[in-house]
Amino acid sequence: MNTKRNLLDFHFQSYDPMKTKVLVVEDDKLISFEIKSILEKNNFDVNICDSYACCIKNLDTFQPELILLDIDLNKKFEGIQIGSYLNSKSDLPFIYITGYTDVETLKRIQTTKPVGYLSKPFREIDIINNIELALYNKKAGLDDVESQEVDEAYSQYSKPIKRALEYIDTNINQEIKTDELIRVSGWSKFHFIREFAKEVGVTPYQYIFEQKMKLASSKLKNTYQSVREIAFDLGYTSNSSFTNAFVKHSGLSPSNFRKKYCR
Amino acid sequence: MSNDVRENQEQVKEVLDQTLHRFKNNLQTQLSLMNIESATHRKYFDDRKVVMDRIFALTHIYDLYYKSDKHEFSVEKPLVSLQSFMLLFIQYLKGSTTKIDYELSEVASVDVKLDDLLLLSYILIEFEDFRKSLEDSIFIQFSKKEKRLSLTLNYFNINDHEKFYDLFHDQYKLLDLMVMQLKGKFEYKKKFIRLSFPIL
Repeated sequence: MNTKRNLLDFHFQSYDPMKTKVLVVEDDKLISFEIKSILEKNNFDVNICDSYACCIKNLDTFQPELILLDIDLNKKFEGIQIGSYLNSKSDLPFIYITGYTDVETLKRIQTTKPVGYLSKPFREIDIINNIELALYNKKAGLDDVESQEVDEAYSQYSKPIKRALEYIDTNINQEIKTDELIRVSGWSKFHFIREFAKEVGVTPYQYIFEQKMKLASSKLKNTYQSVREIAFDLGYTSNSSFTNAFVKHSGLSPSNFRKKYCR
Repeated sequence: MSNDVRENQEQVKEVLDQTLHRFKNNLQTQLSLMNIESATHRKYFDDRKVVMDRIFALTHIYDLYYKSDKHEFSVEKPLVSLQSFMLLFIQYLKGSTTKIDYELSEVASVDVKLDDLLLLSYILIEFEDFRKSLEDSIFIQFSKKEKRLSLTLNYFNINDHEKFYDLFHDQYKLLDLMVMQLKGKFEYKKKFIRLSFPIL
């Protein structure tokens, strides 16, 4: 079985932002001012933008390390356009902030691969937790030593299976399709599924399910994210499908699990 | 299912989705106002009443929006009658004081975007709190000129309103943010303070 580290284990280790630059893209003056106040109080360096053009300009001039993005910017869903731009042109992590929680919008924003999603109304602790988690994940992704550890953890697998496991690791917050895993492995469907089960011990579907549930358990234990936000972060577009999956895995609903194990 | 029924169901769903989204944004604004108060050291004469008044403003607006004819208005930019809202809201404020009065004669047919009207009510709540701290009376007059809505605020015991900003400038951050959000401006004249902002 995979021995890769659980990123959430590190969540509450102190991550010192040391004036990390955060760009807030929000056209509501009250909300952007509030977020700025919260972030500055927590030692972040903050710039505010209220449009697509301003955001793109600030990528060069301010050089943010993370972006908080309102989806319905200027009432034209400009935030999703920015998300698409960031997804295709840069590796900057971004977190959506929105009052939308309908399935259509969630599906739409998932395609732009945000690192998080924060629903309004939010609290200070929600913003800070989401940012710290995103920054930690980015840092971990860039850390050569840790990458080497991950490589070592994967060393027991053949190269095609290793590529599939890495793909799952990178895309754990999306819906992962078996066809995509087959494509990255370079093998035929039948051969891939048989070899995956032989090397990893479970089918690709079971493996992805286990990984998502591990991450969900960790988030429920260690963060203040709502169940809906955790469901979204793991690629589920509805609370009910996530809850059903979680009950199947742990025998408890997400909220009961949190009550039982929350520190 | 007939096409008409299906279309009607889709419209109802759209209205519900947009209303839920808007309502959550409005709740976020309420939280933001409270957090900005702390961050900018805005001290109220009566904190409890300010929060309660904001909640009632929100309730009155959604009551009116619920009663309005959604087919006449855009779902994405819901409009609410200024006169209907102010009749309700200022009447509500007058329930706890006799020292506030208003005139709405020129704005019988004016509709304002729900979010803007909510901000306007929060601005009035700020001025009402100033009034209480000054133990004064206030008169508010609404008017519309071209595509701008204006309201003049007159405090009875202030002789020169040009000095009003100096009186409260250290507690103005919230007001400034709300007026910026409305894309409006304040003018300080001898007899009154005027707030004007664009409407549809």
